[in-house]
Amino acid sequence: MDDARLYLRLVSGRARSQLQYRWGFVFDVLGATLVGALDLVAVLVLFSNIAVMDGWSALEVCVLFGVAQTAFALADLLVGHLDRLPVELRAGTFDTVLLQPRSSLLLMIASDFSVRRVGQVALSLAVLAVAWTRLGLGVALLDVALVTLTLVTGTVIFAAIWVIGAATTFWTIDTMELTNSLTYGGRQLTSYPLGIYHAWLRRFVVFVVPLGCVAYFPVRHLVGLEPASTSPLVRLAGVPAAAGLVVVAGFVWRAAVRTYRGTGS
Amino acid sequence: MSALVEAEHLAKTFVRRQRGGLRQGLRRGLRPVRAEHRAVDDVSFEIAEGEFVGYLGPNGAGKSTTIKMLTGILVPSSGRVQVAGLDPSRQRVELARRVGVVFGQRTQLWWDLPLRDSYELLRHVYRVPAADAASQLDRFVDLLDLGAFLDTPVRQLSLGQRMRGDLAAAFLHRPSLVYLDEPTIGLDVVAKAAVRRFLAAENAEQGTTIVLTSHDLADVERLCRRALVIDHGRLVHDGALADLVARLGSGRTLVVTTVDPVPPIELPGTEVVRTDGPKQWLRFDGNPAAVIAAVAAAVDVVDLTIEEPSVEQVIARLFAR
Ligand SMILES: Nc1ncnc2c1ncn2[C@@H]1O[C@H](COP(=O)(O)OP(=O)(O)OP(=O)(O)O)[C@@H](O)[C@H]1O
Ligand SMILES: [Mg+2]
Repeated sequence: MDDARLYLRLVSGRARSQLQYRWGFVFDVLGATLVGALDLVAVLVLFSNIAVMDGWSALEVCVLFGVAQTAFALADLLVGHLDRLPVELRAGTFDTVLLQPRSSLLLMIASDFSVRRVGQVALSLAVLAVAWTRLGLGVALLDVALVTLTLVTGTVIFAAIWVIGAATTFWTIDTMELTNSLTYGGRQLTSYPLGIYHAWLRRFVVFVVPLGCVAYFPVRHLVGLEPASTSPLVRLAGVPAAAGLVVVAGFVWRAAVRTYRGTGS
Repeated sequence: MSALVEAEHLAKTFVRRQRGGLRQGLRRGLRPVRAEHRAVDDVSFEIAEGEFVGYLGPNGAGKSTTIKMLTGILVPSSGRVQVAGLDPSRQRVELARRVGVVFGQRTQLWWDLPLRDSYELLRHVYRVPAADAASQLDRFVDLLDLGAFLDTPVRQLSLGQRMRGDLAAAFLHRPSLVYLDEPTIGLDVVAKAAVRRFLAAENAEQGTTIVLTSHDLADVERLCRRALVIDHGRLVHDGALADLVARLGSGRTLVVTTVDPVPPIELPGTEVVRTDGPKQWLRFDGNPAAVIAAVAAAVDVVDLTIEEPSVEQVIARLFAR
C-alpha cells in the first residue's frame, strides 16, 4: 500500500516534468498514437482481402486487437522505460537505486512514466469500444468483469516479460532488443486469433512464454466463438499465467541484482 | 557492544574480459581472455559508533569498491561483512534506512525537479515524518547555505551546489552511518570549508559515524581521527593519522629565504629538495630548533618557515617503500 503511494508520488514527479514542455508533449502523444494507428490500419487492410480469419470476422478480431493492444499499451506505460536499464548498468547509475531502502524493481519502475503512451491506451480502448458496440455485445456485468480482468492480467503478463527481459541484461548487457522483439512481437501475435498460427508456435505462446493467454481465450468466449466443449476455466488462463510470471520475474530480478558489478568509480 | 561496521577478510574480484589482438584472438579460438582483478584483497577492520574515519589510497586502490560492499551494492567475492548487525547485500533494504551515501560523481537527486522536491520525494522513499524532515532541512539550509537554490531544478545547479544538495540528501533521514566518497570534489574553498564544518557538526552533535574517502587530504587532516589506508586492494595502515605521520618520520620542510641567492645549503641530516632564487626548501627529520640554529649560522637568513608534511606526501612515502 505504502509502495503504491510512493509509486504515485515518484511518477507524478516525472509526469510533471514531462508536461513542462507542452508542445513537445503534444507531438510525442501524436507520434506514439500514430504508430499504434498504423497497426489498426494493417488489420483493416487484411480484412479488405479476406472476410474471415480462422472463423473470426473483422469486428471480432477488432475486439481481440483492442484488448491485446490496450494491455500492451498499459504495460508499456508502466514498465516500457525499463529498456533504459542497460544504459544505467553500463554507466553505473544503478548504484543510487540500490542505496535507497525500497525494492530496486519498484524504484526502477517508478523512475519514469511515459505520459505520451497514454494516447496509445486511449486509441486501443476506443477500438475495443467501437467493435464491442457494433457487435451488439451489451454490458452484462460478468462480461465487463471478464474484460477488466483480462486487461489486468494481460498488462501484468506483458509487464512481467519486460521485467524478466530487462533483468537478463544484468548478465548480458545487449539483450534488450531480444526482449523488445518478444514484447512488441507479442503485441502483434496476441492481436490475432491463435488459430492462425502453427501448432508449435501456439503451444509455445500458451505454455512457455504465455503471451497467448493475454487475450485470446477470454475474448473467444465474449464474442461467442468458444467451442461448447471448452471448460469455462480456460477463459481464466490469464490468471495463473500472470501469477506465475510475476513470481518468476521477482525471482529473476533478485538474482540479477546480486550480480550487479557497477563500474569503476 | 560490537562494532558498527565489521569487515573480515573482505575481498572482491572483478573478472575482466579482454578482447586482445586479432592474432591472439585467433590463437585462442576467438574466446575473450578472462583476467581476474582483485580490487579488494583480504581487508579486515572494525569501525565503532561515532567514529570519523578517513579511507585513503591512490586511484584504483579499491576504496569505492569497499564502500559498495559495505552498502550492499556489490556482493563480496569472499570474506564477511556486517554493518549494524546486518548482512549488507542480503539485508540491503533494511540497512539502507540507517545509512546515507554520497558518491561524488553520482547524484540521487531528481534531475528535472527543484531541489526542494527531491527532498520531498526522498522523505517518502525513506519514510521520514514531515515535521522531522522539515527541521532537518532547516538545519541544512543553514549549515550548507542551500537557501539560494532550493527552488532551482537540479539540472541547473553548479557542481558545488549540487554536491551540497546531495550531502543534505544523504543526511535527511538521520542515518547513523554515512559514507562519503569524495564529497568535496570540484568545490571551491568556501564551499569546502562549509562542507567540512557541516560534517564535523553532524559527527560531533548528532553522533553520526562517518567514513570519508577523499583525495583532498586537507579534508582528512581536519576531520578524521583515524585513517585506513588501502593500496592495490590491501589495507596497509589502520590507526591514528598522527601515528602514520610518526611512523614515516616527521619529514618536515624548512623554507629558508636568504638575502642573496646562495648555493644549496649543505648540513648533516637535511636535504635541499627545491630552490627558487633566494628561497630553498630543506627536508629534515630531526629536531627543528637544532636545524634552524645551524642554518642561521651558515647563511644570512631573511625569513624561516616550517612546513608540516601533508598527508599526501606521507602516503606517497608509504607507497614508495
Ligand atoms: N565494475 C568493475 N569492473 C571491473 N573492474 C572494476 C569495477 N569496479 C572497479 N574496478 C577495478 O577495481 C579497482 C578498484 O576500483 P575502485 O573504484 O574501488 O578504486 P578507488 O580506490 O575508488 O579509486 P579512485 O580513487 O580512483 O576513486 C580498479 O582497478 C578498478 O579498475
Ligand atoms: Mg573511487
